[in-house]
Amino acid sequence: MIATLGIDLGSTTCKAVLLSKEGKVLGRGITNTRADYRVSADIAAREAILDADLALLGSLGRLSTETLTLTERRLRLAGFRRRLQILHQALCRVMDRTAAPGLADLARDVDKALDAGDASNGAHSRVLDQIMDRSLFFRDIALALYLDAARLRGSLDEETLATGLAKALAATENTVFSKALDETAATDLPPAVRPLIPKLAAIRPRIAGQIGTGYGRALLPFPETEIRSEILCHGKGARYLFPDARTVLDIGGQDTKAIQLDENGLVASFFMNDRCAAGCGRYLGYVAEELGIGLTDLGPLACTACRAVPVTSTCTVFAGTEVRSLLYAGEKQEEVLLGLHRAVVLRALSLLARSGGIFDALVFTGGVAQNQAVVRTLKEYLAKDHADLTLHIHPDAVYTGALGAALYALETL
Amino acid sequence: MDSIPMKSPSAKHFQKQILDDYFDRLASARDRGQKVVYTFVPGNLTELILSFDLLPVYPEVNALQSALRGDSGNFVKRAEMAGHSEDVCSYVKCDIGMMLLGNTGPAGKPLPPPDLLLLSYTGCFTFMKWFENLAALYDCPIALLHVPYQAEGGVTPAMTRYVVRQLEEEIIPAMARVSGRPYDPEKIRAMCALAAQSESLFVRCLESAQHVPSPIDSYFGGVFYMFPIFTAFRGTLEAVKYYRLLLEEIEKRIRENRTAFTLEGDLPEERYRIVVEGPPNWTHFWELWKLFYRRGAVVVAGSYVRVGGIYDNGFRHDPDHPLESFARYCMGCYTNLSVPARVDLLTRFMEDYKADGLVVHSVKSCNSFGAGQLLILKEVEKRTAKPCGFIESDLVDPQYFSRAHIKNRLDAYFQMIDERRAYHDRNPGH
Amino acid sequence: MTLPDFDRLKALWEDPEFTEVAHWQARHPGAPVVGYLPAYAPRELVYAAGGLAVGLWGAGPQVEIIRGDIYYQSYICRLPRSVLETAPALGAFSGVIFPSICDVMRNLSGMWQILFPHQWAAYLDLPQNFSSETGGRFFHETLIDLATRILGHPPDAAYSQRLAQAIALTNRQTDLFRRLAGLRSKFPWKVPMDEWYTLLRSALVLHPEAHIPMLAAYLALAEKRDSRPLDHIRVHLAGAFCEQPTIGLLKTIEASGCYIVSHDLLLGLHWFTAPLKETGDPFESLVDGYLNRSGPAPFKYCGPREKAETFLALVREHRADGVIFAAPSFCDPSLLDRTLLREALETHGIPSASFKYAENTCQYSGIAEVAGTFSDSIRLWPKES
Repeated sequence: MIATLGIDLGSTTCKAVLLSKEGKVLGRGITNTRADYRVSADIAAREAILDADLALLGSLGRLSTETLTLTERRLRLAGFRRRLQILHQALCRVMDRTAAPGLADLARDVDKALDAGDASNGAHSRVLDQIMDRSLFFRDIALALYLDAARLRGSLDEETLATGLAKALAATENTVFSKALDETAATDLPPAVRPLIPKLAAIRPRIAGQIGTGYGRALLPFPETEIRSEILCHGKGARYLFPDARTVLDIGGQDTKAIQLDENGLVASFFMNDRCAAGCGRYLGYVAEELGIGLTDLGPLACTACRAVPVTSTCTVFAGTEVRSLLYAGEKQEEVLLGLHRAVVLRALSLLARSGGIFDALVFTGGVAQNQAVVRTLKEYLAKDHADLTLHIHPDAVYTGALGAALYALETL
Repeated sequence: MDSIPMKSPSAKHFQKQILDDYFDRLASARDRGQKVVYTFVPGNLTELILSFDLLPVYPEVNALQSALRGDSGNFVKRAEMAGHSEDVCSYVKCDIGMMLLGNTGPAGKPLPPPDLLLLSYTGCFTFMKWFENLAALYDCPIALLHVPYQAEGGVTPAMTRYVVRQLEEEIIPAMARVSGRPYDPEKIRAMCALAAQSESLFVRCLESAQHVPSPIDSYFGGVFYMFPIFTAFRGTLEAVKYYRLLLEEIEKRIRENRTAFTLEGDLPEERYRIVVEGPPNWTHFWELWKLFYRRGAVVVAGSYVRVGGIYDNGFRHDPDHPLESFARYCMGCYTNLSVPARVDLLTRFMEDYKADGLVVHSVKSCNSFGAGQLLILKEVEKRTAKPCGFIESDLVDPQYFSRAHIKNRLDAYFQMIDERRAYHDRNPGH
Repeated sequence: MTLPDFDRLKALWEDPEFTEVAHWQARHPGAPVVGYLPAYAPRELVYAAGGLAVGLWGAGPQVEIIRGDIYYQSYICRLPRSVLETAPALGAFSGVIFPSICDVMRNLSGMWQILFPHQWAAYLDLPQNFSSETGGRFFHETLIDLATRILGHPPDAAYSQRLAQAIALTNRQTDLFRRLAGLRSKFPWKVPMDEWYTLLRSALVLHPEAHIPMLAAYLALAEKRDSRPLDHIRVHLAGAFCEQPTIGLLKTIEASGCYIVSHDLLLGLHWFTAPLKETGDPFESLVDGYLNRSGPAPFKYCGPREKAETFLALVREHRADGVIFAAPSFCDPSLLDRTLLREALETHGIPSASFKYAENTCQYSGIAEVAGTFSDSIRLWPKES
């Protein structure tokens, strides 16, 4: 079997899509973007291959959903544990010697937490849910595990630990960590799966072509001919997901893009945000950081507001200051946050209008398309001026660029 | 003027020679007792200045040359330390910063202070504020020429009369006072005749880009071609000679079917013919050029090489009506045109120069160019059905140039053209 | 006599739908409604045509910008965005005047020609040559062209007569503005800043016939007001001639210990230092007004020495303790004037403070700090002699 690989290296996350020769999605992978773009791309690709492997296993052995879920959980947990080990070694290196005994305790606590999760067989285990959740990455989960453990013990100063963890994570994250199925200890896997592993290697698709795209595409280890602009890739990906797509809005970490497609699916015009990252994912991320709120909690929190307090600063940095002074002035946090999300939507709508307007069906892609507050606000505005418009948001919206890239790779075969 | 030696230097070499000579004369002006006039490129009255044996200095040119040399960032910072806002035009700040740091010109030689500030207020409001600020820093007279805007897409007799009267009542007497010489109509007549010759040659050079492949790049290459005509040389024999040499070289390139010249030799393949609207970025000029030519893009026409005057529509300095022609010249500068007139001109360029698309380069500093560019883009796109792209940076403040951002947009833009071409190749009927 | 309903007046110009203008139009079928942008337009030409001149000085902070951002990069001020945002509500206007105050405004006149072809868009090229024979003649011709636009035909003798009446009318209005400014300058506590500003700004929307009686009534009441002065310093506010700060911002300055005793807010409405001539050719009266009776402005050319002197005279006339420079973000004329004027003040030992704003700046803590510190520094530390 032949497949192509599309890699979308964004500023926050790196996505990969594995596509069969027939244009069927075989697997998807995502990871957080790290300093070494090669590693980011590599891990995302391995994730996509793992995803494809799991699907192949299903077809090979007519395995039950439960078995497959268990397999995936085992694999992810095993991988997670191994990375924790590496992290722990790094942590011991970067931290003061006097902290060593405390660190060993923490490692044991973290291990216990994982064991408990594993023993529960996945039921109601927060940590296992997190490991299985593809929108969360190793760094987030590991950081939380360690900090929680430290808090419970009260042994180590949290701030010192957090600094140490950040350093250690930076070191470990940039090493490639293999996760392919057949490399995993067979004992980790359910018995029904074990005999299938050798067969899997034989039928696993060969990657015959690859295209890279995204904010950091120039830094991907690909030759120039294997690189496409994310405008084209998002256009193509959106059209694949929704054949009626005419206008595409992509809000990513660093860029917001408004793309118009003609009746043949070709990009007719596009506009990207100007030099500053105002109105992009970063804009939300920066404020989330300022307020100490998790990025994924931002949208749900804003959604609890009944009204929006206007946030007028278009500059990312000023918006942070403005939000803080609004809160200081007694405005409710969720209302300020809703105002912030509104600002993102307003910028996006202007960009859409700049690129030529909205036609028939609007496809919303990128990481920010997963933010409920943005989606809700966007819908409100669209209802005002574009009542007859269809808004498409695919559950796999975040993979649109990588999908487009894989589709371009198909064309080169 | 007809006696160009058989063995001519290259146009580039000759330009360097006359510019070096000009900067030498500037450096020694004080000692020689020659008076200096600071003025602007758009609507410059070079013939008039030279006819009084005054030496012109163009602060915009100093600013852009400082940027090319990598000095502008410091100059801008210095002016901001002196209280200038980060929001305002970086040309102004670069110039003021340079002055505050000793006024060493772009050629590394000291610039003489002005004996007269000739504020030809054409196509840019900030010019007025710029020279008001300089006038406070230099103790010298200032003469203002208010050039009315072509808001309705044309010049009325009232507008011409207004400019001519100002020339007669304000500008010429101010120059006579500073130089101690009377107005010399014969000299002006002769210079206007030379200017008209240079202008015709210049137009032929620019129009050579209508040829496929284009023998020149009319933006990155073009800014060097425009220096003599828009600065200290227009009404001189040197300018005529320069444009003759240049035209000969260009015509030779056409005969040899050679593509445009780039920093790395001839463009290997002319893949995209682009019209550019807006001034260049000067701090990363070569880098920006590379982003175009490495993709095989050549700029065939643009507004910036018309910033000091538009000759494409037949305007020439007129020896028989010098003052009226000065007036018409000033009013006809690109930035003195209305937005609809700019759309018309760019649309015409797209057709005449067989362009594949328009790229708008928007600079933070310049509202005269910038305000309305997005509408211009939309209109040209609508009228020509050709893809239009948009990039942003600044004139001379280096911190506003982001290579990654610009490359990102240009990549997408050129690939968009590729994809359309590939589609049309596959589906010839469409 | 009662005070005007200030809330109603604020609602007039905060209304992005221009409902009041629509009502006026319904009462005056066929009469032209003409918009004008900052900072000065000869409104008299419109009144003489039986029309209503409506000042378009931005839609304020409450309007969310989408359409406006289509056409403007991030480094351009907010005013043209909000004007374009509300432009669809101007459908019944016959035309719009764009005074020559900066490149953004200048280019907007051309954009208007493309975007709203059913309206005329007149660029008002204010001469920078102040000789009556040169700049004056050019301006005279410009005014005739503008009148022709407004009327739909060249002005005749009857129009000239009505123009003279319109000049007399705006003279009455500006005279009241001057008296109001005088009262405020003398007894700032009798004319609260927001009332002063609201009275001025409502003149952008109301016909002088409707505005004058209200202004006169207010003045009569305010003069008799029995309020007490606060321990505030007196400041001149400079640089806000175009895009307007919110009333909240102005009140913040006042609450921080600064009485704004003079300013260039909404400049065109109170720009002339003396009434226009009511005799002779009325067009010439408008020309003379611009050439000889207009005050300083960042968009008006002035030799550096004269600029400093005029400004210092203004500060002294109002016995201002200092100057607050309030410049709209990205406003080249205002920001480049500031460096010149600040230097002049420094030379004469007059303190100044500066900040930038946009019409949607609604966070005042930074500004309160600037104004408060400024006030304290002047009140608490004696002047160096």
